[in-house]
Amino acid sequence: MSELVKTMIPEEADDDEEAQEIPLPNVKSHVLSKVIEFCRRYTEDPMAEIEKPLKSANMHEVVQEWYAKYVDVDQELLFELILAANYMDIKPLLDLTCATVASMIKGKTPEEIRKTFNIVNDFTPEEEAQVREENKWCEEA
Amino acid sequence: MYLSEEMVLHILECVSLERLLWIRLCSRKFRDLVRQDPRWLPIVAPPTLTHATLSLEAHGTIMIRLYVRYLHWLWRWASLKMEEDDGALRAQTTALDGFFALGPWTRGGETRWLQPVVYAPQRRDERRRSPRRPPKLLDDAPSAFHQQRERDDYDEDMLRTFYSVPVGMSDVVASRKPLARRWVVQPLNVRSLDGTADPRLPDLSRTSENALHTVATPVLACYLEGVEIAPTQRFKIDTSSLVDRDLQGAVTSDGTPVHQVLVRAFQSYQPIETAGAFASLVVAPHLRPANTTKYSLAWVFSSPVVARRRKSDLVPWCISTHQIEAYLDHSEPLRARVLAAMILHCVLSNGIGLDQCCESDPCALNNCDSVGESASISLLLCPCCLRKLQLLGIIRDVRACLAAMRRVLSSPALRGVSARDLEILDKWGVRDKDKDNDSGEDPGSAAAPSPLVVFDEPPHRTETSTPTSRWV
Repeated sequence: MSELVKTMIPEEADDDEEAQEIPLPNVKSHVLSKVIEFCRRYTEDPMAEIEKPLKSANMHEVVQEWYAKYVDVDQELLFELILAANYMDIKPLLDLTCATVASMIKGKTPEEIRKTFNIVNDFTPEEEAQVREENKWCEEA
Repeated sequence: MYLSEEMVLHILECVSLERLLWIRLCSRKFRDLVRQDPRWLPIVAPPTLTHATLSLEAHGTIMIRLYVRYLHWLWRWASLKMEEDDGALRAQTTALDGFFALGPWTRGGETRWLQPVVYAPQRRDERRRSPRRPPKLLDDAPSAFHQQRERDDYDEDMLRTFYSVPVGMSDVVASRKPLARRWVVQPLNVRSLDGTADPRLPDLSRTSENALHTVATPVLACYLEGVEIAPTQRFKIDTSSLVDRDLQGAVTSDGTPVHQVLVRAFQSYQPIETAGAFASLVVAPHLRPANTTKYSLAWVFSSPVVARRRKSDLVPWCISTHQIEAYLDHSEPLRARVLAAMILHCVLSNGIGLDQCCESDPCALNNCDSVGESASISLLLCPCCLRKLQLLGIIRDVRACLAAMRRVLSSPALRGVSARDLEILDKWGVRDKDKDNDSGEDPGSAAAPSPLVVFDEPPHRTETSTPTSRWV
């Protein structure tokens, strides 16, 4: 499933050959085991394609139960999974983890989003006022 | 822990445009990343930018602002509908209203067909006569199609106001579930319970049966896959209780009283091998819908055989050729055209779930109060209704659909009664290839989506974020 791993395995390698070592220096062991857990499940029961934009903030309504539970982890591990999925080039895992972060954004105010993801508000008052002005009709609605 | 810009963009792809408006308030970085989302580019150019090649770099900020206006427009539309202010809804007729009515940020299907249909090509000298003058096609100019239908002011029924439902406000489009995906046209001849013909209830005329095969079904087949016409059946009804004199005392030209069949007489109709399909029953006798009084006219187009509890209930609808035969006896092609229009209207609104009325011009879903009025209704659909069918997955290739319509409208069965529709197709760039060849053009110079028809390429595209070469 990982495009990165696929490119590391020589094409002529047979299944019965001795196990090969594949270096993945950017992925911590506990994250890697979580990634392998995903891949194993995916081969048995592929994840439903995630519709974008998300229809619901509840991941149980977006993907199958197992996958929804899989990403019910703390934020730090979730971000590590995103980085690992990106590094190892595992598209379905990247889709799932990114969708999970998006679901955490859904329905939150900018202030709540900043707090959740430790984002510093670096707008000058004028810049912020300008964006708010652009959203004005939307706010009225 | 930090995520790269690429990762954040991937996350933002899962967020709706409406949410992105608020997310950009988080920080400068988010504001800038949000602006890079290609979804800000609408599927068709807004009125003020019809002659520009849209790109995120040049128009991203304008499009975000326009999107905010669109949300406000939708909200106002919903408010007016709740207040039942039909007049205010009908008064939305500007080019910007037309643009918003298309749901320009709703994606799905190939959309290059929209540009020439929404903004019929104008000559350069028509667009701007002097560099000092502003372009003619501005937001407040009349839309080329949206709610542009004009009706006869002398008709007393003009007191009623109808409006077009925008793509973004269509229930069936929101659900993405048409009522049916197969459609049957079923001609029926009425018989008494003992199987004999009742002299009060005529059979379908040969002209009508012919029109069903040569015009009505081919028209439906241009828009819908899965249309079939069933062989004419004899249908037994209790003529003693379900037939009565016309409520308004109508008589034929020789003074014979006209009789009406109660529509519920057809409620026992069972389609053969067409389970789950929408059936349009076509009969010759005049019909009387349920709950009709002499003060309420029968719906001129079609009636359900049983009352529906919900609009989403799929029941057969019945169409009578009586009024066509009675009032349009001077022109066979006109009769064929009106019958096709009646069946098309019936299938689109009751067999798919589009709203009953659309007052755009042209549109086969225009409201109709008389047979005379029905003679002027187009067999073409407006851009919004075409887009609704496209989003429902019913029309896969709009250009092929319009090309097929051109062929049907040019057929001998509609000779002399398709001039306006053909003129509109000309304006939309759906032209007759043979005609082009006569004018001396190289027949191999244009890509032809069908053997007979050339569809002009739209002048601009808006699908990608990077500027692309212009269509010529």
